[in-house]
Amino acid sequence: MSLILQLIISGLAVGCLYAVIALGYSLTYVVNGTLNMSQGQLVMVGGVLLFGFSEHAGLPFPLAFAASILLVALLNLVIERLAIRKFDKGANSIEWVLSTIAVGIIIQDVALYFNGPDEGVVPSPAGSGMLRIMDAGIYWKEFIFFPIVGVLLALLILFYQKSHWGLWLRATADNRTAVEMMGISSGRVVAVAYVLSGLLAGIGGALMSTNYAVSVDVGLPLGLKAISVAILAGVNNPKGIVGTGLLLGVAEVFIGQYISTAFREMFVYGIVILVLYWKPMGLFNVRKTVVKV
Amino acid sequence: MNDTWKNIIFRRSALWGGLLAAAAIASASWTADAYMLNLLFTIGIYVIACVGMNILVGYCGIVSIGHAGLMAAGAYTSAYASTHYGLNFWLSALAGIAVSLIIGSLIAIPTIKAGGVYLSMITIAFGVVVHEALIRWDGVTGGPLGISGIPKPKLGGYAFDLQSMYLLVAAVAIGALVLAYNIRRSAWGRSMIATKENEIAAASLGIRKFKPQYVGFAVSAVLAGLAGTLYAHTNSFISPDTYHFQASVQLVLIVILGGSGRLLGPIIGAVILVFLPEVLEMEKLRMALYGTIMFAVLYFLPKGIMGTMNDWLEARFGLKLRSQEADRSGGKADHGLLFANDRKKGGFPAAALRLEGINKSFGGLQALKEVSVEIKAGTIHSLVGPNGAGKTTLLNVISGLYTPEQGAMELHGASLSGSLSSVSGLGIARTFQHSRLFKELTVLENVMTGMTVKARTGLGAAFLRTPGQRRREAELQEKAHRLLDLIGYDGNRHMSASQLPYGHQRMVEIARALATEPSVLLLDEPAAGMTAAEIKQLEELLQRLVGYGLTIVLIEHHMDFVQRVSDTVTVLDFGKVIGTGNPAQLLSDPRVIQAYLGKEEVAADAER
Amino acid sequence: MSKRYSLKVWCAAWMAVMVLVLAGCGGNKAASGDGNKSDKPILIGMSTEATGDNAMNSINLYQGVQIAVDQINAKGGLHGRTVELVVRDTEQNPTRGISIIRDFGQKEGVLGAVGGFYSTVMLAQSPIIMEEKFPFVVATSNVPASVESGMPWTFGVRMNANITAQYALQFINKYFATDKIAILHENGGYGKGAAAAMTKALEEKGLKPVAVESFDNAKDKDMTAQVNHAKEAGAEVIYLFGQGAGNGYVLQAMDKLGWKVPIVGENGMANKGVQEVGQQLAEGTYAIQTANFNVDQTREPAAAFLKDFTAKFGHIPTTFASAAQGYDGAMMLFQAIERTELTGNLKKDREAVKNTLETNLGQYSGVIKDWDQAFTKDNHDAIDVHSYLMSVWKDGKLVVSDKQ
Repeated sequence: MSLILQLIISGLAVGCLYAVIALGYSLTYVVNGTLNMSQGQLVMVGGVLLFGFSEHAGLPFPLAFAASILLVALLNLVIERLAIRKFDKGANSIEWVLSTIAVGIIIQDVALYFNGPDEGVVPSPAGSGMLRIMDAGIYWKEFIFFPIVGVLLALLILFYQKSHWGLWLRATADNRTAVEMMGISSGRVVAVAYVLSGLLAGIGGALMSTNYAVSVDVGLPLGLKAISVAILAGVNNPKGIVGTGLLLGVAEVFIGQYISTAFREMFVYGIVILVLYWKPMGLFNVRKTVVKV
Repeated sequence: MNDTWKNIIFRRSALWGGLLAAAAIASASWTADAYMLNLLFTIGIYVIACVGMNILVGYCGIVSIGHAGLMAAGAYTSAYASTHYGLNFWLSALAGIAVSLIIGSLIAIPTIKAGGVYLSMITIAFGVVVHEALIRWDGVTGGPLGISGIPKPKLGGYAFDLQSMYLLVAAVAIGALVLAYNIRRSAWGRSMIATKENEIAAASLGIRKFKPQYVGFAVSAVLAGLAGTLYAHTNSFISPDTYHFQASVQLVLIVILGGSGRLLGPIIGAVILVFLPEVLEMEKLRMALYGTIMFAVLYFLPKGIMGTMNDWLEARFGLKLRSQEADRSGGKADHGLLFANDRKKGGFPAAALRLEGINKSFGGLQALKEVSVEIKAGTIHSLVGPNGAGKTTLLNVISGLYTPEQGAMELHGASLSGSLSSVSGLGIARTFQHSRLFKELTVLENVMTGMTVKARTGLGAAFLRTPGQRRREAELQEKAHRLLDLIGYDGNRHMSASQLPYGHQRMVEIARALATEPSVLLLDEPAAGMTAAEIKQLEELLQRLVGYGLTIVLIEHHMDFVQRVSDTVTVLDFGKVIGTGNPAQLLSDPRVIQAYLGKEEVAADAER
Repeated sequence: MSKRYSLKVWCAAWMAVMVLVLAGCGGNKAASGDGNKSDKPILIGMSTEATGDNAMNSINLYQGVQIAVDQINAKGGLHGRTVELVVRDTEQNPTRGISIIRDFGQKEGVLGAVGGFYSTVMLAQSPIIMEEKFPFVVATSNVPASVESGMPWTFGVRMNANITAQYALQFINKYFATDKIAILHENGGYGKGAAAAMTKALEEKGLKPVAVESFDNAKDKDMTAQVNHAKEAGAEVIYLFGQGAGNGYVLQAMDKLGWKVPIVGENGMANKGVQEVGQQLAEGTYAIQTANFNVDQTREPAAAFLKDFTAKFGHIPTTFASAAQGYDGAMMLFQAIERTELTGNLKKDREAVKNTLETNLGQYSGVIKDWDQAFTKDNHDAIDVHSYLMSVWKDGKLVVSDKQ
């Protein structure tokens, strides 16, 4: 029993990370149909910055945390301006996929140049103690993922439902032209979506670095894994994506325990592919008008 | 417009230049040292794989970022077959190609269905899966340490070495280029480009996207697998590190750097990508440089090197790589032969199209309410009404783009239903409200795409460009010329359709629709944006078409045009038919005027 | 519009010209034997992984070699000529690795080379080294075949996985009195090679490991499943072959499951990532090394090496064994070169240096140990069961263990 609980808890911790990154994809996709393929590298930057600020610059944790996530948000804003805006010209244009991939390559290599290849862990303010629930163990610093991510999601939902910008974000997602006719700059709305997405990535990376060692290489595999989450769930359904991310984390751990650790990834991807054949646009994809061609 | 001397000399020298380059490449096998030969060999491998990628990305518009996985499939299958089963190279290479084809097909199915960014994401996921399998499935793949000791090919008693493998690779690369050229010059290439540019327009010509896009996938998978196989048997060692996500990105980079869709693009791209690290000898920031090049190409050179150079040569010096043949077809021919003959035999009902009680709504909005219309064969029947009346929706329902919730439709007495592309096969052709020409194709090629379905070009014939295929292409060209003559197009037929003035675009679209040999032609605001002279031409054309037995349904706002040209007029308002009948009498009917102008005007008018 | 257009055109034209220049350039640089005439520097190839997820460890090898080069040049070089490193990044890509060997062999014309941190690349390079025929010192790759498939031109100053496994098994039997070993390893060449070697060593005693589990060092953060399988199989010792943080996550999983058994590893356990992630959990875990720089160096060459290293790089090596092996490997190569008559004919000189290494290297006193004859015609692995230095994590530092 405690093993099952252990697996669930461990799985949810990893799943939180997947969910946060994949949500970053979804937030911008619903607004203007684009996303930043280098989201994984942004997460890495968040972690590396936190490490740099708190270990090398010696800043107190809250300050280092705030600085890291804000910088990542800013970086995403710049990426949107340079790599996406120019290429977002129609429903079918996907040059921005390639340009953001290119940006990811550049970010990773530049980070390597400045940061070096070392990996580092940031001491978490939650300490290194262990929380035991019925014999299953989880470190406090891992456990705080859940409330933090939960609060984050709650804040996001509040933002979307109650604030002006949230309203405009939802409106732009629905009908961009109409929003522009109301005099709201859709460019600004897209920028806000990217800032939010960047904040998510930064928080994900910062949280990661308090628990796991971050080096400049951790970003790409996470980004790729999050793409699988996005494919599974359908990119345009934020709630579906969060759920799928969590589910995937738990599934991975269970498959590893009960089927095989060596072939775990194969099973996970096998599931993704099966779902793809059944529903190519994702399990929770939001459909629009059907045109028969 | 004939070929200028300049152009002819340019093409001849380009041809000779190409032959010299090919000779130089071949001679490298004897003149270059092993280091250089290794680099040239690597370039050859990339060219083979990227010619396939070019077909997929450039012609079909599918950006696959997972093709390293297909190269791996070919390489590993072939390596496994020859090290574990002792098969000779030729058989194991065949096995390798077969497996990459199978895996490529498996990837194609969900990918083509999805489209858009999903497509690229799915290909990324597949690439990652293959990479994982290579690492984990060590019984077959040797795991992270790969497969070593892969034997070099043997032919008779002769064992290949690096030099002869290089020649083999060079020969295969040239073969791949020829294949790409043949595909582009065939109906398959045109279908791929048409589907990429405008899926709905292509469907209206009967071209469904699955076939051409699947062929693109299949060809690119085979070429990638072949490249992987050749690589494995030359280097005698393969491991998963070569086939990761970045490798797939590199393949895409080569294609866009050279110029997506340009024939020689993969060569230029591969040369730069292979020589750059050798020349630069940079210790740090090398990947950042690749990323920057990729970004710069997307930003400043979206057409790639070959594309930009081609444009420059054309703009600056008027040099064109394509020969500009005579623009007129030879001799007069009976234009009536251009259209379907079968309906001439046996009595067809007088009504070409019959609609009964058509209802169509979108969510809460009811666009069509109990629409019933009878369209007589061999007449011009116009649909008029204020904006939002449902005219285009009705046309969309007839052509199969929308399915009505209720109601029945008949074409020539037989029940009519189906999707846009299947309806095209039944003899209904259409144009659209906004120009949907295929901008990348020439004017002539645009018209030729209309003939794709009827022409039924075989895949093998297209690949090999057999004499039979060449003859058929000539016939198609001839027919396209005659259609362009019919609509009265005078301009350059070998220029890209994007350069046409708007009025000409509308007319060429009609020619393209006519190429499907329809019995019913649906035109959505054909006169919009036309000059008075062009409208006159359109009128004459429509009269001529009716003379050949065509039935025309027309949406228009130019009321005088409608009155002159139509036999019958149906007026729609708010999705309902207000009246059908003779143009002159219907258009002075007060209900119709009220629909257009509103109640007060009618009242004011009545008072006068 | 025209301004942007001509920028595009210039870019395109420039790129096209560059292509032609590159093609011409590449062809012209034929390899001549001239590179090694006297008063030209002696070129030594350095094959390293500067990018990729192993770069932080691989760099130690390179740094060790750099110290050797500095020291030799400070003494006037070899045969009065300076030693110059030709450095290339393999990017952890075997294809690139192969091209680098050809580059060393023909374009740069090196006399010898050092490298081989990453096993998969080394495996690909070995047969090519055999074709290019220049001596290559393999300074870390633990896979036995990486040296064997390149003989006679490759020379290993590295912890051969088979020999390491034998040493580890001896150690475990002696100090933990058990044969119930679980092997937890990363799924790359390093981990798999070690797992295969330990399995083989146990089989020679008629035994089997109680569990063999793998994990992905870069991607997996949660090792609950792997550790649990080992625990349920009744393991009493874990032979742990991840790299740095990966091993740390294993320690964390053990902590969560409330299970503690001795841990024996090698380079991967010596990496500071273990301590960073595992913190106090790393206390008392063992790492097989060939050198240890956290303690005072008893050997004079080691002390000198450490002093120069710290002076040049500002810190001690992060992977001790690789740094020491890179240094000793390079020094042995240099010693062989010094003892060889260089004729100026590159092909002959390479052959001669190889022969010297095999037959006439003489005594060499290095960081790791003193060698009377490091290599013979039949044995190209300088490190044997007696060259190891067992280290243990204590108070956050890796120190030499009392148990050897």
